[in-house]
Amino acid sequence: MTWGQLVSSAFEAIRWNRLRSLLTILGIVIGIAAVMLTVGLGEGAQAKVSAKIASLGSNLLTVTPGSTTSAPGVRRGLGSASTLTMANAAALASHTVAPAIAAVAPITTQHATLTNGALNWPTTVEGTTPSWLTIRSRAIEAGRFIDSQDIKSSANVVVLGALSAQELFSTSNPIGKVVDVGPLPMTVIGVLAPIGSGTSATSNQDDIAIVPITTAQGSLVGTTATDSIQSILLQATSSSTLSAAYQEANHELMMLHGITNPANADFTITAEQSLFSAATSISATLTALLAGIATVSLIVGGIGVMNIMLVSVTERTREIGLRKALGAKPSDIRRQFLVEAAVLGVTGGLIGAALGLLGQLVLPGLIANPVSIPPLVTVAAVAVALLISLVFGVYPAARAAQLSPIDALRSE
Amino acid sequence: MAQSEQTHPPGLLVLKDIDKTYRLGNLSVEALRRVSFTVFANDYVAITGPSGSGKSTLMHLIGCLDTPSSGELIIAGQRVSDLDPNQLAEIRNRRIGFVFQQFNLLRTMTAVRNVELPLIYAGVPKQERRERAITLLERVGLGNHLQHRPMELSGGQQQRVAIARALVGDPSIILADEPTGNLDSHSAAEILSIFEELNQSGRTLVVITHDANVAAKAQRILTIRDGQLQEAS
Ligand SMILES: Nc1ncnc2c1ncn2[C@@H]1O[C@H](COP(=O)(O)OP(=O)(O)OP(=O)(O)O)[C@@H](O)[C@H]1O
Ligand SMILES: [Mg+2]
Repeated sequence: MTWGQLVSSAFEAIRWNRLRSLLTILGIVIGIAAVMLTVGLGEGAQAKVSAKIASLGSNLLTVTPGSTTSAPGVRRGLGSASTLTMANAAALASHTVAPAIAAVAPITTQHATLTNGALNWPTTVEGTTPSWLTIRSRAIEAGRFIDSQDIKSSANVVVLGALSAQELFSTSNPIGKVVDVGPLPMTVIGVLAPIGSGTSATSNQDDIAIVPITTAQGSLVGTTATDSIQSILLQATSSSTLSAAYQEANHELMMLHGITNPANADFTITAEQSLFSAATSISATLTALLAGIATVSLIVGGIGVMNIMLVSVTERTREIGLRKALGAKPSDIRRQFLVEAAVLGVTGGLIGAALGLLGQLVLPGLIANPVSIPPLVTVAAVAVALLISLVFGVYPAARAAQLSPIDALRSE
Repeated sequence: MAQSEQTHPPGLLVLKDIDKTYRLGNLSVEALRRVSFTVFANDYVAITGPSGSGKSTLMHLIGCLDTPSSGELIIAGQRVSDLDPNQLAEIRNRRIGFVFQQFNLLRTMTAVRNVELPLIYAGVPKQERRERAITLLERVGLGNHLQHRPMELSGGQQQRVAIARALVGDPSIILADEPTGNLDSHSAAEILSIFEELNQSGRTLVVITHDANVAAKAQRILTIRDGQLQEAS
């Protein structure tokens, strides 16, 4: 028999055994679609969390004044004079002191109302240095960010967050315009690219205004000690050096502050990532769980296919016997069942994959969760389904082909 | 080599001390006992005997559909036990036309497709296959039932499809197990005349029958009783 004849006779057999073929294909379709969608959901959730982490800046440590370990009465509030200074920040920026720290951004934070003519907008004003942009993984949409020259000269310039710019200037271009930050007129030099309000409880990161830290300390209201700052952002050289960076910063600040007992530390270092490492591990667990469910559904689908294939071959042992009696070689029988199983497997595989991809498009709209199916999963699911249908379609047929024609004809 | 040529049996089908024992658990049925006979090329042999005497069992062995428990079967000089599965397939396909007592048609296929089957395994091209199948179906009087499936045919019609299928490959040996068992006397006579024609054109026929009229057409009649051969005529 030629392959062409085999394929056409396979289609004939499949059409004749319509219900059985349908069930086989259905088993394959469900198995594949289930695997693709469960893995896709897990991947989507993980991607969502990763994006969230990336949006907060990676490998980040934040130094804040006050101690989390000391009693509440001892702890200093944000309004009181901070124990952190520009000198502390400068020391941490040294690569000899702290080689694991890639960048440092001292930060002062105030709340102030920005005014542009009749429009005003209360927002958070952060005084910082140029490294803030990279540490926070932010981007400039228009104009420029503050530079070292602005720091040196305590320039009266401001970079607006996307929301602040929108509120104060609506659609017109704010670059070069002057806004009043509190009482102080400042020139808008840039606008940050929006990152969208997160689902986290933290404040909207587009509702912000950035000024040179020297400007904030020198001219803006509220700060008593001009050298003190509210926090220091540290970026480790990589996620693997995060704990080294923590050690270095802790050691250096203890020394600078003359503290010997860690319990008395007047500052706290927190890893922002730690908030999300938990989330990452949860979503990793979720992915593992979903992958487990997917594997089970593939196995269940596979067993279904296996069953139908086995039953179908057993039912057809008489046919195998007759074909052999009429001159079919064992290889003819094997090939016939191989082609039939392949046609079923490929048909079910393609429909299943199409259904999975359709789910990838439709599902996010229904469940508000992203679905991202790695192509490899699609390929693997189809391959497994094909393999199952081939093995369980061909193996029993090949065994039946070993029987003498009369034994096969007498079966049932 | 020369020696083997001398001892080469002249018969087309040679059976030597064939035994066939069926085992059913610890019960064993001796269906054939020490059966020996020879069928020569162009013979027309009838096999008769009571029901359950082992006729079909014997026919299956000759048709290479089953293997004897002991003894030797030689077809056209070839010891069947020496052949591999592919060679056996070749013999069933090219040399032997088998008419089953139970017809054994594929229920999913039309009469034409059923008759075509042996030609598929002989590698005959589609067009020729179809033509030859139709010719034979017409010859057994089923020209009007080409596209019928077995369940849409009467028992006698199914039997004639089975006969057409056995003849379509133009085999030199025709083994027929009760080929006229389900036929009226008119159809039976037609089949017998086809057999006679085939015999006249050099084919070898072995026919199992209960019917004395059918047996009368044969040159030789073998009778089996309780798995043992009793040659008459
Ligand atoms: N597969 C089998 N397993 C066990 N016993 C069998 C098997 N096939 C046949 N027999 C037994 O072998 C004996 C011969 O059976 P066989 O079919 O050859 O008879 P037969 O002469 O063709 O009879 P009939 O004229 O009724 O067709 C019977 O006793 C039968 O019960
Ligand atoms: Mg019989």
